[in-house]
Amino acid sequence: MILSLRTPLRALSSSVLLGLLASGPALAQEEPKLPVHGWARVDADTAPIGRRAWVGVTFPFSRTTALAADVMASTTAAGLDVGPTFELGALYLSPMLGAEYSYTGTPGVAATLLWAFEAPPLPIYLESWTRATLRSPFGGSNEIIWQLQALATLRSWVALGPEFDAVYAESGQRRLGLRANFGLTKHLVLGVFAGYEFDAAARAASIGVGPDWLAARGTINFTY
Amino acid sequence: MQPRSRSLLTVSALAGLLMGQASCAPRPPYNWGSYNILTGPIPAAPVQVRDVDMERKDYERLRELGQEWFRSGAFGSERSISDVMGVFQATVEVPCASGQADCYEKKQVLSYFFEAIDRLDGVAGNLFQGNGGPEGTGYTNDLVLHFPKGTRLHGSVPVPEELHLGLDVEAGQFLPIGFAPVPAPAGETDNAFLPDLSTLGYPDAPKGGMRLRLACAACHYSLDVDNDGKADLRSAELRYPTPGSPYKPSDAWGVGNHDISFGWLFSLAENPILGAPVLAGHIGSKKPEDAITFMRWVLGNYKKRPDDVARAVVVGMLAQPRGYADVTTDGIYNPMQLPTLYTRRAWPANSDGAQSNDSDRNNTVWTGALDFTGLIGLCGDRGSKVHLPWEPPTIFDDLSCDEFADLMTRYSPAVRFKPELQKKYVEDILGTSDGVPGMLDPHSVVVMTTPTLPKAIAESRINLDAHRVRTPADYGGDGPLRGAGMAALGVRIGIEERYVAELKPLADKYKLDLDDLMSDSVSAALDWMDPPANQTALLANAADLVARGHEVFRAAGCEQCHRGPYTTDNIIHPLSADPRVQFGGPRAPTTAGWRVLDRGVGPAIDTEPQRSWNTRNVRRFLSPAYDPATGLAYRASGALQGFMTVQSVGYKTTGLRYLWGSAPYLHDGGVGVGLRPGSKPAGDDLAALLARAGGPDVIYGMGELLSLSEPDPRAGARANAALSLQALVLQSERRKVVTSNQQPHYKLWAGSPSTGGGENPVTAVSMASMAIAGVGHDFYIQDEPGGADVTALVAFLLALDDCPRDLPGKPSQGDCHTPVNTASK
Repeated sequence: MILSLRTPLRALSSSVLLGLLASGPALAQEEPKLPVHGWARVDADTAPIGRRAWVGVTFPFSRTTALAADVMASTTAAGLDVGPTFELGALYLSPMLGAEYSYTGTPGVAATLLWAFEAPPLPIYLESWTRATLRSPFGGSNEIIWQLQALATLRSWVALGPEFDAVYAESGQRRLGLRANFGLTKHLVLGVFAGYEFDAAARAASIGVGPDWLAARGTINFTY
Repeated sequence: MQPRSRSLLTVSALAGLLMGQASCAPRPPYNWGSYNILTGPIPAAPVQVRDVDMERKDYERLRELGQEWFRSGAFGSERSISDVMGVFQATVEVPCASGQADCYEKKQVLSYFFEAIDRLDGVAGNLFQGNGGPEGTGYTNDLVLHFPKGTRLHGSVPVPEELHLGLDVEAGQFLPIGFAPVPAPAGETDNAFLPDLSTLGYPDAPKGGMRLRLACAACHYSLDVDNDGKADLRSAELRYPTPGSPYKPSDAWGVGNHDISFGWLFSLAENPILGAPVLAGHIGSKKPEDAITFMRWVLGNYKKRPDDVARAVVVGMLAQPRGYADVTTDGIYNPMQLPTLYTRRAWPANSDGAQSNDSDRNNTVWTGALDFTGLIGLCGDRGSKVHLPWEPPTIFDDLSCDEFADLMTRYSPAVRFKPELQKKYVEDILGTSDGVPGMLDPHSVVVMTTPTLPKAIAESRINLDAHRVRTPADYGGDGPLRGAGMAALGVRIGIEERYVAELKPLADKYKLDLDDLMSDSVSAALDWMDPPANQTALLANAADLVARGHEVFRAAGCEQCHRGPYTTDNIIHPLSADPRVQFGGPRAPTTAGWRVLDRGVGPAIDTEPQRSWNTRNVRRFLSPAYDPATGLAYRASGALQGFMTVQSVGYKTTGLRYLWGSAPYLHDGGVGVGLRPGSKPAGDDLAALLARAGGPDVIYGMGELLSLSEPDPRAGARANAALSLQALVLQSERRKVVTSNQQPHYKLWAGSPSTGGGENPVTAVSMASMAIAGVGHDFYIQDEPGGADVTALVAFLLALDDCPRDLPGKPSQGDCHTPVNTASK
């Protein structure tokens, strides 16, 4: 188990190293100073997880690579993630590794893959968040969360489309619904999701208002 | 799977991702290391063509040919200039000598044109007898035509008594720089519309029909090297240096014609309607819909009300500011200053980087600007056939090729002379008769199938038989990656027949493609040039000030983009952080805060958004990805490249050498501050000059400066380099410029065009409405006008010339330019 934990860590460290090496010549050439970029996000969900908040920062290595890190706190756990981000043309990718600690005393190790695709002026925006949390070695239960949204960019202030959410765990969930992102300002985005909960157990555990099949989440994202 | 295998797989996958990332990532600029422009050399142009080393004598001959061609070559554009445009062949109405009211005589402009040149040396009648000779006084940087009071054009457009064309004439010449005579070939019929100069009454004038050729130098040379409105040289020819002038003849090359009036140049043509899609339009609006409305009115009326249309087009053209050129084919006013041409190690070409390299730049200019009829490639059933849904409409969307060709030719001198000739000219322009669109000499060009030239014409029998069909792959190197950009209008320049004998041996000797060698010779001539040395008294004994200015320049971060000896990183910086401007469509509001957008290409320039409309799709879908360190393309263009990579759309970092002579500033020439005519001269105290900012004798913005200079550009107000640079780098000063540019200070000589649509006539507009706002490049230092930092910074910027370390009043520290071939790619 330790080996299987260390292997992706080695991979991650290798990738960071490779990223540094790849960006080495650019640094030597006195690249224009690239700004450090920060973000904060708050989610409120009808699922038992309730509210979650992240604060993140990215340190650029080069024009298309950066080191990303964030800390997360929810109603059940807190943790941190770190990993590189890459820009491959229209594809943005960030594989991260992290650790978390639940308030019940169970630690966990998390691997996260974030990706987004956007190719303006094509009015399409895809975003995926997959997070696998390993808690079983520490006495907890493992979990994979996947959120995928495919939005049509209607205006610079609104994008609309389907979102699929799934949690593969002891108490899982599967949701399909409609997502809208509203750009309130250049730096502030409000995301709203409302959908149908397919999983009976998740319905029963819902902490939302209205019918138990209604799943909803609100997101505020701030970048700076 | 074994843990080791899994580990290997994971590492391999990540390595693959990194490699993919590396291939998609924009490449970094050239590494100039710790180069210091005040102590380091300025590398000379390599003695090479396309990376092939040449013997010096061959290289120098090639360069000379290029320079000669730049002055007089045009691949046969004389037919378009004379037969279709009828340059200087307009007819003006001159009040009758009797003084009777409403009595006018019609006179050809051509006689006033030659009279003005003849008059330059003070001796009448010797125009074709040497005109005072190459060492005489018959030269000017601003040719002035004299018309009788009350002269008018197209029935109501007033013609000034002193009409400043802004063309330069060298001593002893009978034509301005950039114009060349081409006698009609023996045996040519149907050419009686061509002027016969022997009928003008000058002894020894050439007999027979004469065409005029328009070459690059008309717009890019100036005998007024220091941009003070007065000629500094009597000739730009190396063999005729000007005694007493601090400048060399070659200093006149590539500085840009500061005073040329495109408006009058085209308005004095017999067929001004030709220029409607480029130079005229709806004054005061930057909306494409208004441009389309104006163009539809032109198209709807040019057959039945040609005089009204010609008048409206001319009135619109006359709004073009002096010293600026509107090269956008959109019916919207967005002129730019005529650029300097210090092209060494500057790529990609053009201010927006839409042209991959020098040869593609040359090609586009020569096939679309020297021969305006080449713009046929933009018509509705060729280049504008596919309208990308996110783009604003254009005037070409519903302009068929047949209609466009008809518009160009219907009132041309040739067709006025003999209407039956129109069919021949239309077919020539369309390319259906000779396989080559436009009116360039088909023997001097080749063709490619592109969106602007259908395969049926490009690969027609006539072209196949003439071995004139090319593909990008035929050019080798990065040609295949440059693709359609190699022949933007379907035509690529080959070689003029008169140069074949000299160029072919060079092509054979160095195994160079003969097709491109003519263009290469011009590129070599441009790359060879260094800007003239600044002689201003403001920099006398200012070595310490300049050095401190360099420190300010560095501390402010300017050197991050304006780097190396040529002060450019060769990177295209985005026009705007707003993707709607950059790409034509919005970005989705996103909750993926971890993404870092727009970090790759530096800060946005943030200038007028419509500046991106004409070329953003060229940049994204036609221009290949390029290496800013070498200028070479490394990834082909196309839809995949356009959508899947975020290639920035904006402005390439401008080189700063010759800032001292090229005010006003920014790509639109909008940042101009000048001294009021008659006020105290600039003097030799830079800090004191800059401290005059805000005073009553300082004029902010280009509207008032241009209006004051129009009656006589030689004596009127001009943008002062030092004051304008201060406004470039001090926010408080820039605000004054921008505010002034937003006011209706720019006086329209002939008012605004009337299309009978109930427009409100205006006599003055704001420069901002002409897309000369002076906004963008918002990078400032903190100081007060005339303060220590800004004075030092301005001194440094003024010192950026051929050798920044050599200042006036200070002994030269030796040759600034390193031996050849050290700057090889």
